[in-house]
Amino acid sequence: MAYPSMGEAHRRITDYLNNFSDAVSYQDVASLAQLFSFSSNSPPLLSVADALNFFQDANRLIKQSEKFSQYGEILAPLFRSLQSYRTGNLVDAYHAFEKFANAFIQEFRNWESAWALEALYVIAYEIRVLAERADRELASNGKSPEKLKGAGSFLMKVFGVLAGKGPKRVGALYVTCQLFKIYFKLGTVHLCRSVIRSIETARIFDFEEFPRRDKVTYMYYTGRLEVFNENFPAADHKLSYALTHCNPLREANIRMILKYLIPVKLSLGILPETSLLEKYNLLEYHNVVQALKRGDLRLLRHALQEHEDQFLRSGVYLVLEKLELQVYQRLVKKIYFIQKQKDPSKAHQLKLEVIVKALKWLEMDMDLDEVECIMTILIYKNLVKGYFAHKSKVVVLSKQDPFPKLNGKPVNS
Amino acid sequence: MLYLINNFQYTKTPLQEIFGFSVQFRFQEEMATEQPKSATEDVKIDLFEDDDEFEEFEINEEWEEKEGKEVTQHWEDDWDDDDVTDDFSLQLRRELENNTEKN
Repeated sequence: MAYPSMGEAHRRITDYLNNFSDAVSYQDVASLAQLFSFSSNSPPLLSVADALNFFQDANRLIKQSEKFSQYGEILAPLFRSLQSYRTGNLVDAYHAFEKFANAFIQEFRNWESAWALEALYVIAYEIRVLAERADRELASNGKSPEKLKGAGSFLMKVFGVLAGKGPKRVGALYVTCQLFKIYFKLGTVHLCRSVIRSIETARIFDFEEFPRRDKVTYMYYTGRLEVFNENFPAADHKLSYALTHCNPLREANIRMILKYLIPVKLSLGILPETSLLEKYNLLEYHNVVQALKRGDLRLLRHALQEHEDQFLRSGVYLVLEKLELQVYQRLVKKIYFIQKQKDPSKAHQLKLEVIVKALKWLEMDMDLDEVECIMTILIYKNLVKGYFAHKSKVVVLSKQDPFPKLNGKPVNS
Repeated sequence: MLYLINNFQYTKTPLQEIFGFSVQFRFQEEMATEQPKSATEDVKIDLFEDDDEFEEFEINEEWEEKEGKEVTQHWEDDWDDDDVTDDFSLQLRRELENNTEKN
């Protein structure tokens, strides 16, 4: 930390105040936003922070001139926050930043045009990131972390400010996405519902008007929610939208979309090419795909076991586990074709004991009753067309299309 | 067994009884029942990470969408064919034909 002289500190602080005031007067949003982009750790900003910590009486400077004092409610907490940020007191920095942000919003409401939206985006981002750091500091001191939750409440307020008829409304989706990030991090994803309902049903919002980058992020998170709820057609639509419209150079983001889209596609009977899994390092799905292609139940179980932790963490484990029925279908279909090659006239009659034998080979010890149960489920869910002759323990397959394809639709639940 | 997690109905299958819920679902379940927790317990549970937090786009980030379409073209929906000449199918056939030995 470089210690300036008193005169130098005075100069830096006054320059900052002038920059702020001029940025507002000339509606220069880029310059304005830089003044509170703490996470950028830009040298000029940090040097102002040093000056503040050294000078210690910045409020006097604010009051010295009407040019600055008119924004006193905004600037005083901003300075306090910057000082605390610089000395690593993240909890104090967060408190002051929230005060600054609240005061800024009050002023922002009075500006009719949307000129300052980008500055608002910066505030929304910074308050979330500061809250995360403050919570880490609280946790490391054995205290209860609740700043991120508070940041969420603040952003809901900001959302309310933007949810009006004027030009500021296009900022609402960015704030929504910051809220999503908070709720997903806290595990309180049920709170997403109200803001989603606003975006999707309020008449003031036209989804197409929002900036593309926000639409992509929004579809990613709402797509993930659809995966949690196992609404696979909706999840497919949203995650595919995100995939199509995402910046192709942002490979980390593409990978994240695919991580959730692949289980969805598998549930709809659509398989990713191995080249896709390789390119985006998603090879944990490779054996799942192979298992589906082959009808190999043993491979599916191994694949789920091998990557259990990963699948549980991302929440797709249950989706993948349910692919078991489709793998059964494929296996039974193969048995049918093998039989057909030997004796076409009898092929549509599948003896249960033959299926038991195949399952035993795949290290799945099941008796006739259990296999009968599974065949009944397959028929019920329209994965197999036919009926079960209980006495003779034979599945009688329909002569036409005995193994209906999913054709992009999920298995009947 | 029926669970209510974040107002979404959620049924545990027998396999889930064995493997249990993911950490995430367990947390949501606790949120739903709102049991009082000690401060140190909070520390472990509340400090969640979302492994898959989407990276921020720059404010004025621009890109060509044409290239983006490329990544959507690597899917197959015609894999479910009648071919039983692959290794797995051949092994399966051998197993099924082996009908007297194993009994």
